Amino acid sequence: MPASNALSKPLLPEAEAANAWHDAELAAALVAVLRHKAGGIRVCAQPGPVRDYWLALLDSFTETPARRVPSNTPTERLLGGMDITESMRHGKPVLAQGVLAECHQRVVALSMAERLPKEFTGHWCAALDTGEVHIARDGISHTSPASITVIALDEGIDEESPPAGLIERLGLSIALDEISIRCVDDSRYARSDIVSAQSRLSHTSVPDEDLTRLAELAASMGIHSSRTLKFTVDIAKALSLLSGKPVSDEAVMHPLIRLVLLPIAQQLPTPQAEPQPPEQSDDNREDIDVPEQQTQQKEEQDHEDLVQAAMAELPEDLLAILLKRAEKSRQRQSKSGNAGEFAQDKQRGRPVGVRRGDVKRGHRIDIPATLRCAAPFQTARAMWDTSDKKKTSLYIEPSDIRVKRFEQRKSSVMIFAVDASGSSAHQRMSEAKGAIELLLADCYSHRTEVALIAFKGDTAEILLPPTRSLVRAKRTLAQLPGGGGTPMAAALQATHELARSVSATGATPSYVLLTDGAANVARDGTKSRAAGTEDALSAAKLLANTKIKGVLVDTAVRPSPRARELSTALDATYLPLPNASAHSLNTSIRTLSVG
Amino acid sequence: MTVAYPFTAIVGQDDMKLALSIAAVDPSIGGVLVFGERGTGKSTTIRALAQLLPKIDAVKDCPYNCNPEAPKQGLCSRCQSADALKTRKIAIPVVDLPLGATEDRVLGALDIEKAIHNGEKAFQPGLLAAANRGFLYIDEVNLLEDHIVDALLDVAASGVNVVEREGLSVRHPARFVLVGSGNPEEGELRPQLLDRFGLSLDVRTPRDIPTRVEIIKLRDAFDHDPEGFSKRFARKEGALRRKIDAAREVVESVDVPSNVLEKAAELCLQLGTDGLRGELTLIRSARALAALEGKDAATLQHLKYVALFVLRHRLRRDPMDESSADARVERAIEAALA
Repeated sequence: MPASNALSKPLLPEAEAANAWHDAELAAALVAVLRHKAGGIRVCAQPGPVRDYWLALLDSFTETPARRVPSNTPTERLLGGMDITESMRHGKPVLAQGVLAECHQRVVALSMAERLPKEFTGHWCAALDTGEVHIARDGISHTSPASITVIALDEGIDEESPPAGLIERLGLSIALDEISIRCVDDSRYARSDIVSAQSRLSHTSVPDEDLTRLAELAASMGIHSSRTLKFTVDIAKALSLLSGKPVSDEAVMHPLIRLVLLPIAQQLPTPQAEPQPPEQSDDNREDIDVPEQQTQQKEEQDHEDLVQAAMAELPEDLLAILLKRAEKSRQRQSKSGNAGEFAQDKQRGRPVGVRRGDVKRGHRIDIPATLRCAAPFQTARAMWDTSDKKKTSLYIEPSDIRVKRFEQRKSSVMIFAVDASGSSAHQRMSEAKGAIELLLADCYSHRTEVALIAFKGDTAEILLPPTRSLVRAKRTLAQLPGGGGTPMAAALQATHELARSVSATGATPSYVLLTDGAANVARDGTKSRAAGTEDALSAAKLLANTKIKGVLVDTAVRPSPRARELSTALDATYLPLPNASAHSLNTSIRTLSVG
Repeated sequence: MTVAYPFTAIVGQDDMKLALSIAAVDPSIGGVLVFGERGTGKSTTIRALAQLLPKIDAVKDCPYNCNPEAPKQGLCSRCQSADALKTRKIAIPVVDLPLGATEDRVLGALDIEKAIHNGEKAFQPGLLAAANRGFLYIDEVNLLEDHIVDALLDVAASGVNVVEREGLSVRHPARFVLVGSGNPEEGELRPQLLDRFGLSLDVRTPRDIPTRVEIIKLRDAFDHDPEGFSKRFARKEGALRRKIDAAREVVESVDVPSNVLEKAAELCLQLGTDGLRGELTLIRSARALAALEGKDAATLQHLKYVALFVLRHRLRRDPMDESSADARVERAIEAALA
């Protein structure tokens, strides 16, 4: 990903922007009509007048203003827990509602959704799925209604994106960054339109042939989730009510594609529908039932015609615009990285129970645990209380205080920087991939997180932010394409930056650089062997200064002096791949992760 | 409580439905893990199971749902010391373990209210107590916090929950069928926890359009009128409930002939699965399946059907080799049962 400043996006030409704004307006109306039936909406936009205007518009549609909730709202506040003062007063655990339950039947604006930490995502998803909050905390078990509509305000740049689980549960998606404030005009919908559509919604049904067509369309874009399909159908109903046209009309179909399907499309519909969806290749159980597969293929034949029909409906210029946008959002999707994910859950450490503690040292008091300690002595302490004025509340003594204990696990992150340039790709790409797979297996057994950077052409790209999911690492690796120059300086810089952000979270980074050392692209992107090497060596020195441990695995056919030179500059262990048997490679890497 | 989607109205996902039914027939199989991509109806199916389970006898007012018929040592301390036990019918409990649950609610803890008012040291039973003799469902099981997993692992293996905290010393029976679901992309499951599950499945969304349309149509009808929709399926639900109930009655007496035992052993040997658990689960699952089908003996067909679910997560794990685990099991099944 080029390190451009993505904050200032080029604006769209006026006519296009006006259309985009109309879409955004329509999306707001749809959210207001459908509420939790559509889950919510992902709004990709930097803060600014256009986004503010859009939010105000939505508020005017729903009449109750959306409630802002920051993405770092912790579990105890999201779900609720013990109400301390009330519990003290009544001498029994009293529930304090959490944010999710407080927002029952309301619209929630989740700000900076791209930073939503992994450990809180599940709570949002559970509320969106069930419309309820189910808690079992602090001595209280309770279920509260919480049917919420989520506006995920996504300010992500480049590969930042809200967690995939959350995106999946939001039916709509719009992007506002390319719309100029000049194009923002008065609303085409009034509150009365919303109310009337809402009242007719439950009496509307979608004919079977349209359902089939929608399912077709979704499948042709690689969208297979039943949840998304259900959203699509409900949104189609609302669109049809708002526009007064049947579902099959383009006034319904086109916005539906733009606002619902394309933003999450995994592939673009091609006129020649693939005979098999790509993911089926690794589905082994499919093979058992041969007859079923045959019927499936026959059905797919039929679908092809339908997809073509659906495609033919789209005007050509529209398709071009969509293609552009879809490509962009697909890129985002595929790297559903979440910088906050690792930045936050490590710093807090995992809670590992409570211990006796001192308030003054700045520990976090665990109130329920403290109460439990004090509780058995209440009658006794009341008897011993000789002061004139008998206390009415609780007797809590310093020895009762319990504080929360967190364990800051010293985790480590192994950054794999893989040379995917033409020179490397031709020679040793598959061996390099094999070597990484072995190393990944080792990382797994040590519970080390892995990150993957690939460099080729003129950029280095973080393909996979630190993760513990090997399935993802493996999949990303398998899809790694090769070709182009060797931007070594950019690669080292990317490694350096990632390593820095890893250590900022308290984890220990180390890296494995797999390359043949043939740097030939300079930092500014010019193709030159001399400048490329020079830049690479200076970037290497910078990285060496950080004292982050690393290994350079030379993937050249014969050990190359340039790779050795680079490893010296990096102060990294040098390992030529020909000798790097799986075992010796593993041993060397292990010395890294132990340190 | 809102009306849950009926189990029998779930289109496709036959493997998942069958695996859950098998676990309901013989709880000693050890539970079901359902992993799969988003939007496959994992949680819908599991939550639907609750309405389908037959009723069981339990001791009246016992927080642990003790079985009045069980031998004394399997009961909680209060039921053990009681002279005569009053019985009532309860629905088999399906307890949700929500994300963000704290240890005091999962394991149980000192009852604050009683302690403050009466100065009495009383135990407030947790979710594990409520789940005794029933199901414990964990959605997003791979996101569960480590200290909760630790607590679960021990109890799931021993069937007894021992609480030693806040001056309490309590032990009570906690035998439950662990049911977990999750998306493997969001994180891996700890191998120890993986091992606690008897059956494991990988689910996908149906890819053929008519099935998908059918799913949406039914779901739409359900959202429009949950009660009416559930009524439409009441007969089917009742039929399946009776089937499971009948299977529970007879499962212990279903015969497992020696050729099935031999093949089960052969399969496990061939795949090098650790310990006896795989073999035992294999036999029990085949037997439960036979009971569900109303047969009085398990056959090689039953064994073949359950083998993949029982064994796929028990192979000596090569973490890089996710997809080939299934392939290896299938090869072994072909070789042993062809």
